[in-house]
Amino acid sequence: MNWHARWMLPTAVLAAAIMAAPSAPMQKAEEWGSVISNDGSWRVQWRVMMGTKQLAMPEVRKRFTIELRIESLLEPKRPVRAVLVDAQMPDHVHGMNVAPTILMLEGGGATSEGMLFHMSGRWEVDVDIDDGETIERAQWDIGMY
Amino acid sequence: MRVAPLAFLVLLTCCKGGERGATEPTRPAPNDRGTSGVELGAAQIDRVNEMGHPGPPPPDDTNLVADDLRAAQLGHLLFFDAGLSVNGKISCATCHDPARAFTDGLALNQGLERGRRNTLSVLDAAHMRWFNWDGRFDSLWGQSHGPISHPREMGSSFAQAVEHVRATPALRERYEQIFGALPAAPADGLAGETAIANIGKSIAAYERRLVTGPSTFDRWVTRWRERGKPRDADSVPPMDFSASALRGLDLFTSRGLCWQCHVGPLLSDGEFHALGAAPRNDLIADGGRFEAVPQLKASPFRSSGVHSSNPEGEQGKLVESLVPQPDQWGAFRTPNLRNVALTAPYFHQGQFATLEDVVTFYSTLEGAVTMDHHRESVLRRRDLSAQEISDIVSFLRSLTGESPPSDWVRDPWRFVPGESIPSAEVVRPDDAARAKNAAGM
Amino acid sequence: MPIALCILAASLAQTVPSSAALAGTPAWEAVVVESPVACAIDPAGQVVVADSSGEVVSLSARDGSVRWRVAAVGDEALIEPAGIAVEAGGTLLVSDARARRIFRLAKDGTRVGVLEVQSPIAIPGVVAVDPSPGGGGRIAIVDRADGRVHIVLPNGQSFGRLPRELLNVDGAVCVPTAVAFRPNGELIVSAAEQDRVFVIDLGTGADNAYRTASWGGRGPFPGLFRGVSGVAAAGEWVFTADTFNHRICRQDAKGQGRLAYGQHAIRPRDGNGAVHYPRAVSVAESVQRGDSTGPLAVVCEPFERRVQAFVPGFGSEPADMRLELPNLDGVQSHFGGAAALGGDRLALHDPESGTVVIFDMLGGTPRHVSNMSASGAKPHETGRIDALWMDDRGRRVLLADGGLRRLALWELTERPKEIIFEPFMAKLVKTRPYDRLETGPNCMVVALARGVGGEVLALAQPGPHLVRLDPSLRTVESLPIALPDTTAQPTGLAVGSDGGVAVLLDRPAMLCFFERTEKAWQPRGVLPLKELRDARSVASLEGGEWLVTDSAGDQVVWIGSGGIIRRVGTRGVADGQLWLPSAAVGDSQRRAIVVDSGNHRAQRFGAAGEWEMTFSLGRTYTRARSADEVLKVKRRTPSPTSAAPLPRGKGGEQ
Repeated sequence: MNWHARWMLPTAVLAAAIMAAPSAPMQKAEEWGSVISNDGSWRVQWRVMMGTKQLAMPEVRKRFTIELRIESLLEPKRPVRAVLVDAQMPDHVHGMNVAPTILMLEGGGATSEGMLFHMSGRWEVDVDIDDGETIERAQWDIGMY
Repeated sequence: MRVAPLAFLVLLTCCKGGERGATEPTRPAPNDRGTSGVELGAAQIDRVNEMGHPGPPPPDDTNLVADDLRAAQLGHLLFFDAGLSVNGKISCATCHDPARAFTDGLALNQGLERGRRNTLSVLDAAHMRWFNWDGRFDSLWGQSHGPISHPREMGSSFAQAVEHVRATPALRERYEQIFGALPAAPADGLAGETAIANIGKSIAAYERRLVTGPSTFDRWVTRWRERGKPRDADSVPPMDFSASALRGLDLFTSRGLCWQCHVGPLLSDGEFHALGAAPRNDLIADGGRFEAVPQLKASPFRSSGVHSSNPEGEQGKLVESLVPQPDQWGAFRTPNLRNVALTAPYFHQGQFATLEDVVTFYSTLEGAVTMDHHRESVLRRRDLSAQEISDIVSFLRSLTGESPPSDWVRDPWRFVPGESIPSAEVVRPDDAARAKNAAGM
Repeated sequence: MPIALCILAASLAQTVPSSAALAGTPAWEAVVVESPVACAIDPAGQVVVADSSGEVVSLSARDGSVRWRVAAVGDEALIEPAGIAVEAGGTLLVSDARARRIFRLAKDGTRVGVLEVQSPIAIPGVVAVDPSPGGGGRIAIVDRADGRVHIVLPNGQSFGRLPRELLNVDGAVCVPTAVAFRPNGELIVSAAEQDRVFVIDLGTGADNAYRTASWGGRGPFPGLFRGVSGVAAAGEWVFTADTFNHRICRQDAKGQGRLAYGQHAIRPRDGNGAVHYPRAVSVAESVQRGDSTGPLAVVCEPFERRVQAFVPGFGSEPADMRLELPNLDGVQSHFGGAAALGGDRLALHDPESGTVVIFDMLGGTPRHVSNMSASGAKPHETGRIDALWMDDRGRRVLLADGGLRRLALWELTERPKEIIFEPFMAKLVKTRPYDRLETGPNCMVVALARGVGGEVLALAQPGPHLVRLDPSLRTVESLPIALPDTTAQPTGLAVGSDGGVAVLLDRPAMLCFFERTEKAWQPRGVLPLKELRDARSVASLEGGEWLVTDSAGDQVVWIGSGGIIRRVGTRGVADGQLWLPSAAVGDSQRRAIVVDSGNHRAQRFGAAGEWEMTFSLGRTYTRARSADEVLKVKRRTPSPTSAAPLPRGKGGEQ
């Protein structure tokens, strides 16, 4: 039995209310979350997948994939040369115990497979986008309570 | 098959064997009559709802015989077989003594020599993802073979263990029915490894049968769910779930912060944390998870290794993607709290004698060791009152479940016709030896 | 609520009693040497030390007494000795990073000659000599310019350069810091920035050398390092100077072992066997010490301006060896060599943890309000911070990370109504690798300054180049500047109120001024600062003045158009004294905030040079304390509760 599923959605709302750092709007299923990178150069859309199924948020201690769409907001547009995806728990000063596999996609997207949040709490997902000159971060929080 | 309350079974075997058990002494909590006054918050309701009985263990696709009855029967024999040790006197059941909830009641395990870690219980172990305190193994079968060749535990070798199976008709026949012929002697190299993996898989199949039934707390959760999971905890008939335990549950799932790691049906997240509990005076500090990850990744018995039935499965992929993190130095696995009242002493080196000592440590952090003075993040003190500590302990005691079926708990060699009883050679520590263990000798 | 937050660690922690096996037995009283960065032991009874301030010092192995000192080799002055080794016949090899020479000295310090190396070594660093019978006395030399290890024969003939791939971990190449030879001729290489140690078999030529072992990683626990700067080998053991973990580690040639010596000096000037930022170590199994022979280990601690010696063990680790990390009273400040002031916010950094600490200076009282980053290799982590920059509103902080070779830009939130500690005040905006600054290979940013209009001005070596960056770290322009032809290195950069730039050179100290013309930076004059011994940072003040720190001189000076107008600081630990100050910034009232690195604190002096306060994380003193008061230490005593560690002899038994 997936003992996370039943409390995921109401707890996610609670988590959004109490998180210390600004977070991305909570996404519904079949929607993409969206954040602007920290210097305003990129729009990053994201969703959480487990296999072919989209989840509102990851399940703790289960491997999942984050799918990304990345769009340059600058003129002229900047290319996405590489992407790094990672996650950390700022409150606990540690990251994930696993190294995800990043695949670049045509059109500036990427997938990060093999993510794993091994405990409950606030996770910060960090996407570092390399345009060949600078590497800019987009980030959002996922609260798993 | 009849199931008996586990505590009763322990009492019975303790009286019979003349050995003292590792059961927590019962101390009546003050004000343990009447209502608790507990009102559960929304987050607590969700947490409590996750803590009910876990049911049967999840399937293990890395072990094709995980649920095979014949393999479990073979594993049962192997578990109690002292012939697997180099001196013929130590079996798995030496440290994982059914009379002591499949632990040994010692601070540090005692095989051929005194070890460096506290013995974990095998009960309900099949639910976990990582095994041993440091997660050096990622499957029950991967862990099961480990003590056989460990120099401080059973001290044997793969080749010797295989020869023992070959020389014991009750084992050889069962092995060959399931896995085919044993490798030719000497059983070293890959063939020996495969045989040892099969031995481990059989033991694991047996250990998967060692699951405990519902506890007092589980029965309360069932009633609570049946009543629609009310906020007013007192509206659920308590039966044997005391008001003190209910208050303890309240603290456990809220201000006590226990739920952050002791979460879910096993009351364990199964992951690794460094709490700064001081190592025992006579042991070097233990690197825990940080040192275990490279060992696991190099082991042929890992889930992604050649002996796994599904190396490309989820657990295999997880192992391959593990990276050692320096902040995991000194981190140990959150133990499963089911039956915790029966498995004293506590923590990875048995540093704490009683549950009161454990909860007091979390509350005051007295004695905590700074793992790294550059890092400012540490546990936060809870500053619990004596009553609150007592209530949490009451709750922990309510997690004692019903014993696994007695057929799986007993020594099988007493029931194998015509066989000498290898388990009769097992020597368990007497009081004098226990004292020496505790004194660090 | 989360389990772990940033709080005072020591209020919850307790000292674990130490074991004699960890301390090592001191061999002699610590010897004062101004800046010891390398050492070597001659088994005949001599310890030689390379003092980077410009000397070679010889000490008696018996008692540490000074036998001789030389500041020149023949008629060539030593400028920056960086490495020292003893050859089989007792001659000494001394590398000088600024003279760009490797001198050969006799055992009494007199000149023998210069090692003329067939393949040129641009900036020679640490040197080591192969003692093995079949090694032929070959010599390993770290070239700081290109990060390679050169192997040469005693006559200077090249044996080859160590292939970069041998110092490769997970695809990243480690930059060698120090070298040593094992008795069997294997070469040990340490890489301080990547915290790795390598053991290399040189075979018949450097080109077919192969790696036999590698270990390390960053962290405080045994087997991990923080800035493994020095290595030595004796018997079967490898010894490492683990700088920011404040210990000498002993491991076997496969990296196994947990023994540590000298861990850990806590307070400035702690000694008596405890080490503080050890930079180099040398060990010998059998040394003539007066009438007897025995083992000896020598440790260089430039931070403490001393050399210590102890008697190391060569046996197995004790079975009952305990491991400890020292308890500290309160959160400790270790401030490194960079500071930046923007608006009312001050950024300092802690080189041990790799964090940048933010103070709010509103109202004049510094309050520690946040930390950001941590030691590591991820984008939001740091290797070695060389310089800091803040915008004029105190909203953005830029780190020049020389360890990971990149710029990292962070953003801070607005000041809240109530000034409290906010652990999540900062977020990483972006990074830019140094290689993408396009100033040439091996680019290193040595200084940052806030330009007119709030832009970033970065001084990049080699060249040097002045790179102007917009607030998004994109290059506006990158132009070379011409510095005087001298061995001095640029260490600081500041922009005056007229937009002119001052570049500070360290020794001989001088300020070089430039003004911006249409397409270039034109030199506008040089102000020599001969009185300064080692100039480390420059900041601009209102009214056309400059603030310069003299690290080796333990002082900070105000400079006007004619030269030094005011000095503060003398060597010491009392309030108002300084010890190896590494940076200073000036505020709008022309006060100086000085990073007093050697005393683990910062101090503020008024515009007239009067001492105003001393502060660190969590503490501010406005009444000047004497040296004795400063060095007094509070230690927590364990309280006897049932949850205390179990004393020996009792266990968790029923």
